[in-house]
Amino acid sequence: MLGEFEYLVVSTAARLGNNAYGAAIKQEIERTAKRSCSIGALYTTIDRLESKGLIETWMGEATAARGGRAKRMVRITGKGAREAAAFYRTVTRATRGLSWEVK
Amino acid sequence: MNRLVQFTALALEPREREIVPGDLAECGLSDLRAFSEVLALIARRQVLIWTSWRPWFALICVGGISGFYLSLMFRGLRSRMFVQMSAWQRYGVHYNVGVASFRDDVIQICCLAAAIFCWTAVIASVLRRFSGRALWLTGLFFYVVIHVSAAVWALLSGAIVIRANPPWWTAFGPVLPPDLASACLLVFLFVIPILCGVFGKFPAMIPVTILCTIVAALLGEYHAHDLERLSGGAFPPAHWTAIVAPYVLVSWPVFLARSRQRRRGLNSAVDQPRSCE
Repeated sequence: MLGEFEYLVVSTAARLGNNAYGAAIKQEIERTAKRSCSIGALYTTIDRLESKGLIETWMGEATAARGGRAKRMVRITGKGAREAAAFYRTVTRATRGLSWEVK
Repeated sequence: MNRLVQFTALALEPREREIVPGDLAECGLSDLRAFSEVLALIARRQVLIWTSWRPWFALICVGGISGFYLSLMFRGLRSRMFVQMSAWQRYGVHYNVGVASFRDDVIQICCLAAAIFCWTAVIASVLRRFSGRALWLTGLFFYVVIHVSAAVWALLSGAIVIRANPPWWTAFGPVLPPDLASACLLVFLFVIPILCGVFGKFPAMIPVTILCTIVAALLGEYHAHDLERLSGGAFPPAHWTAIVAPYVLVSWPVFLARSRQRRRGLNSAVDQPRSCE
């Protein structure tokens, strides 16, 4: 089963679609999860997910904003989508009927 | 993106050397923050490497054990060689060690030097295969073990008694730049074979190394029996296992490389398609 940060990476990459690459995923995670995301954590997680066959990566084109450097594009595989769905169902089941409002 | 980040990124995988600085530039991080992010990524990569048994095997078994016995062999060779060299340089004569003849002594020195060259090259090759991207650390450890361990062992066993220099100097002094003759010996017996082992492919060298090991071990055994004969039995030789053991412990990576080579040969023979007749 996916870990919490792995799920964040997979779901963010799925949301970004064709525009999913390192810097974009990092900024999107920081925006949506309201937490800092280091490049080190992101790339080791991407490597791990790729070795599990949950995502696939390839070299993208270079842009001026990156100083003419290439991107590492990310795409979710079918297996990755199934694992993310399983994680989501598990968390939903586990929290059904619970209220986390702090009294 | 400053040059420090670019330079630090060289420690990453080749394709990441472009991707990571690009991502950091796009995120608009400060130079200091970008530098710390790259360092953190390098640290994570190194930690991941060390979760495998292979670099530990390279560090302890190959670099540590073989490096230690290589260091002992080198120390013995260096002392015998420099006795002959200094006698010739100062007095124009060879030094009669009283045990073996000059000719035998030169033959033993040459065989041991050839064996040390081959052992170092093969050990460096095995170290590279098992270390992967941790090679810089296992290689550094191997270098330190080669230069320091024999001196530390001599200190601990009481073979060297410190009178003038502090112990740390005697132990770590060999790491510092030595005199010219020692430097030449280090270059020919360690630097060149290490470079050959790390960057070259030399399957043909393994049989030569095995031959050198056998000859060096036989000459060591012969030297021990010669000492007993000439001393009239005052210095009986150690048991043959004690004489041969250092040669086994320094050369076992050679046999490991040989077995891996044979296994690869068998696998490639199996993988090759058979021709239809």
